[in-house]
Amino acid sequence: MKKPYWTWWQGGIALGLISAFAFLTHSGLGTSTSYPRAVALALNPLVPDFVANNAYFQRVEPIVNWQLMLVIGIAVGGFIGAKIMGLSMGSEPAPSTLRKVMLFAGGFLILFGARLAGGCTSGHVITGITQLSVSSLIFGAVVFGTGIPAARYFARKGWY
Amino acid sequence: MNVLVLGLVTGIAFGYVLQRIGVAQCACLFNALNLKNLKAVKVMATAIAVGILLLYPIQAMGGIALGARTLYIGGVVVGGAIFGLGFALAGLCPGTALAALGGGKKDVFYLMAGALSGSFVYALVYEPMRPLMIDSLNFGDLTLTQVFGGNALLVGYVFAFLLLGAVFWLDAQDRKTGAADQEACTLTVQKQAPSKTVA
Repeated sequence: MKKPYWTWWQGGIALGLISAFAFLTHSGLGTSTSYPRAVALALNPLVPDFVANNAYFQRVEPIVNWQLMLVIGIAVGGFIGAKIMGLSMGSEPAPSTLRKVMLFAGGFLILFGARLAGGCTSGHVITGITQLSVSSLIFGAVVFGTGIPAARYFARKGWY
Repeated sequence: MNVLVLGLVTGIAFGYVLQRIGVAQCACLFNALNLKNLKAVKVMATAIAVGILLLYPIQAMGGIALGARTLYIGGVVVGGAIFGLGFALAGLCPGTALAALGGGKKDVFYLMAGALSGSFVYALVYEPMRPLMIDSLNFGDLTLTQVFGGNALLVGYVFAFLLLGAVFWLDAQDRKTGAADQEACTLTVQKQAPSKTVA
């Protein structure tokens, strides 16, 4: 690695500045709505009637907006960061079957849960708690209240 | 600036910062949830405090209206529990997963396949779930300022300083357990392996 990771306080300040910049120039950071939006965009040319009649896709329409571009930007920024830090890219050993299942199930649950709760780590925890939303404080408490015992259980099982 | 370009530029900065911190490595969150190295939690709490300290004076001067997230007990609690379980399985969230993908983590494709499937299934069950999960026990856009009454700037600043106090306390715990900042992204949970030979 060419460059070390930022420390927690360097990273926390940088993230806080980006959060404030987003609030001041558009709206608070958020990412999870863009996943169903990507699904809607992909399905729309194939099954336009289904997308038009689905109650959720009527709320999350198949359009390209600020947040969808933000989400694309995160991947680009992640690439630039990895390059600058000299992280080894794409050279990890192939994941085990267990790891594949954990990633698929984990991905399914974080999106289903985030959409049901109305936000994820960025939308609820960072943006929502910055707004002092009671909803986001409850979300954060429940996420860690569930995640901590679950992670300790998985660690005991030797799944990591 | 065009709103789409603005979103892209903000996202690039966001993704870059996530990668530089190390939260695009799933080990960072596995360590945090196992209370081995709390860097990810300290980062989130610091970001919130910095945001509040910067934004609330601007809001008090009328420059911005921060708004709030809607509180509906069923969806937020059940969704949070589902999210927490997924968080512990994947070690990434919808934002950090994208930074990890950009950083060349090929196994994140499995997470993405799950994430898009989860989104699709949610769209299918949204309408039947809505009356119970979202429309009932719905308290609207409630903030701490409304709960405690008083001035948003004051409530915000008190909250931010309490949060920073909590961060320094968590950092003191990390120092006690010898959890170094630069090692946050190296998986240390195996150290609690059955033999417990490592102190």
